[in-house]
Amino acid sequence: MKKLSLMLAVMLIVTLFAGSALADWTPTKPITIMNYVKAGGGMDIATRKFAELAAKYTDATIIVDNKTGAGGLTCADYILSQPADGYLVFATTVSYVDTVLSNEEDVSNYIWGFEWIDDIMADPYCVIVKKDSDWTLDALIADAQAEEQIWAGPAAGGSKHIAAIQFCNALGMEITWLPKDGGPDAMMAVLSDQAVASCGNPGDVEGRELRHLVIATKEKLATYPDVPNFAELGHPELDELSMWRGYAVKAGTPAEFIEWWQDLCQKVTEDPEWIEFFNSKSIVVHNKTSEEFLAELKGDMAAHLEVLKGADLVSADYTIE
Amino acid sequence: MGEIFSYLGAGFANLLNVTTLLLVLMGVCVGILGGAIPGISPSMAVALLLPMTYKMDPTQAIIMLMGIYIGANYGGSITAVSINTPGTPSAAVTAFDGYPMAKSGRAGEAMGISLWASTFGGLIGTLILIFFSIPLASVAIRFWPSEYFALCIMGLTTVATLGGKEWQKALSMVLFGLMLNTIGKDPMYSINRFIWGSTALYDGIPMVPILIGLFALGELFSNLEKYDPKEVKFEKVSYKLPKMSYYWKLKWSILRSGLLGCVIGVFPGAGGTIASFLAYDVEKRFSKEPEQFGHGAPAGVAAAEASNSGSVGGAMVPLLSLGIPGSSTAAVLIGALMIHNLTPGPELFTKNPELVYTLFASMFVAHVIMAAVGVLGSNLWVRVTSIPKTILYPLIFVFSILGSYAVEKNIVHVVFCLIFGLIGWMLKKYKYPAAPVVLGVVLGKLMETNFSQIPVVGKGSWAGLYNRPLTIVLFLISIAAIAWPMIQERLQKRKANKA
Repeated sequence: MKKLSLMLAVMLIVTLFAGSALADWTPTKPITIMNYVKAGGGMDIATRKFAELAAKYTDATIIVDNKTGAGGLTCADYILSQPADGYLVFATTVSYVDTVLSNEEDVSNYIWGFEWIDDIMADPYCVIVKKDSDWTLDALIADAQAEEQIWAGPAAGGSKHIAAIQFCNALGMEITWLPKDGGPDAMMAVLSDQAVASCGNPGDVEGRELRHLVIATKEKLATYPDVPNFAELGHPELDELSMWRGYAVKAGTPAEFIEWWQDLCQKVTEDPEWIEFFNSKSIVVHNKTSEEFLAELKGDMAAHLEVLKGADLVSADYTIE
Repeated sequence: MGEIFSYLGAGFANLLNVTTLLLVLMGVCVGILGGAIPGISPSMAVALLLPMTYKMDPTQAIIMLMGIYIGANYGGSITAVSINTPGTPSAAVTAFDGYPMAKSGRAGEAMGISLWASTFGGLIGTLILIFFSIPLASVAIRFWPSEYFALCIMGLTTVATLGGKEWQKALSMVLFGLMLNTIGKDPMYSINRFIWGSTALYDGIPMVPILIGLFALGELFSNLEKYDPKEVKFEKVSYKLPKMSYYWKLKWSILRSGLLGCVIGVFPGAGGTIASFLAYDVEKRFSKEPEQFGHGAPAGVAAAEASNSGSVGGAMVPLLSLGIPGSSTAAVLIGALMIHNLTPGPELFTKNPELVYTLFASMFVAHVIMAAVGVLGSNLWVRVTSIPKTILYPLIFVFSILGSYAVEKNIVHVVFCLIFGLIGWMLKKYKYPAAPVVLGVVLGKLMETNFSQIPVVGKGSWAGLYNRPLTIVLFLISIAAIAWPMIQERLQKRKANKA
């Protein structure tokens, strides 16, 4: 009995110490958030704003760096080659996941080599047409059913192409994808009538003679209250699709770092300045941690792979099991 | 028109404070330095300093970044002239004649031309941006894949100029450059080609390691082959910049090239490098001494620099008129505007006219500052050519390695650079021109992408190649560019026979 009491006491002390260690853990050196996009890109802006606001809640130094190339694979390779100590955080997006899938890369390395710890925002997908055009979504669907319709967007097999196919599959239409060198070029293709529409993000119309036909969000954006979502058009499932952005660390990173980082993400994503900054850019701010994020990731991977296989963009024998 | 002048006046007034002027000065200096470092392109230089501007006033942030953009376009010529290492892709054309001038002891002259051609070319671009952005943007919006393809064909016709009498060698080299573009993802279906499972090849071989390898290392290896340690010979180098009157004879070259650079810059995806090649070609055709080109022709340097600086104003046209960046650097500027909650595009003129016209005014001031810094600095950096070879050669090697690594912080790019260094050396040894390789690489992706998109936008039809007026005009110019020298030669022969 004495032995048991002693063991229980030791366990309690260890647990308490461990608990306090988790709660009190603080970084001892600067943390680098590594972007796979160029400076000025969507995730880069998010990360730099994050680092700026994080300074309100921690004394830790957060450095933002960029390592571009191969749609994020170069950055991932670099992070995977470094120690799993938490001092190197991967600023990632669903586009990176789609790069892994569309290139039929090894998911055990490029996806499960990471722990997906925080999804901090979603840039909704939307359908964009010229401002002075007469298009309605119904007219667009009818036109695509009657004849070949061209949509412009970034690379074939990328996130926006996948989302466009998901939209079209659900709406019973078929389109031809005109791949352009990034979002702005795709918008130029719509402006110059090379394409009828584009699958983009709400911010893509800003400052351009373009407008949205529909924005895929469960709750309508305050910036575009008059633009319908898919639920209003009878396809609520399409409002679930989003271009998320978040953070991952190398698998094996100590739990105390992950807990500390998630706590920091919670504080930053609740900061009014953060919410105001991104809401004004038509971006939905949220904070999905490990389990919720993982479920989203797995769901997206399965759905996107199906789309890619359906469009013959990856081989039928490629699996992610 | 009067409204433009009054806004512009207000823009200049906004610049008249020490902080703002210092920011323009800082931007220009950082830009020149960044541009001069091989591997740091203008877009990288702007992106590197972008985070610094997050906390700044939006107008001050944008004018500083614009100063970097302007400075970097000129900075690229410094190392191109002094050590045959183009600091930026567009400066590769500057090296064609700038370096031979420096080698023959005319470094000061070449530096002076590159400085003043950049300054005036940039000012021409700025003026066009302010007064003609709306009509130019309406042309840009008419450019479909068939027009881009025809523009690339026009670019390819310059290979005849680059090759001269040895056009077969130039043609084989441009084909080599075009073939290099087949490495990496295909632009239509994102199929990986010739990547052998390496993620480093997904995006193809980047331009900068190719440039540094072919030009800097190629020249270095060639010099090392001939190097004799006993030979201590210093070439007589003229450090002095020519008097202002000297540049007057280049006025038409600068004007033509500045205009051409600005117009090409308007088309997103085309950019300063293609503009430089085209302007160089035009100047060689206009020249009374075309045989001098490639061996130290002042008009060659002027054309390259005036056009790439002119393209800066051009690249800002679609950004301000359509909200579409005209170059990769303009794309970074869009990011900068968005960080400050400003919307690029025509709305800027209505919602933030103060910012737009202060930006325009700052472009004038930045060019003046660039000229001043250039005059002061040229005397210094022209002396690079007098550094003993035992120090200069290792320095070039180190800069080449660092420059190629800097692009994506990727060691594989250093390997590319070394491979292209060996290729550059071989090309020199067997007297094959390296410039057409660059032309092929610059045009390759644009050409392939747009060629394969012609039937897509034509819904299965290739009619875009012959039923779009702009495409036809561009094709006719290309045909004339090829045919005219042949006709000229025949006419001369006929004249000679008659005589």
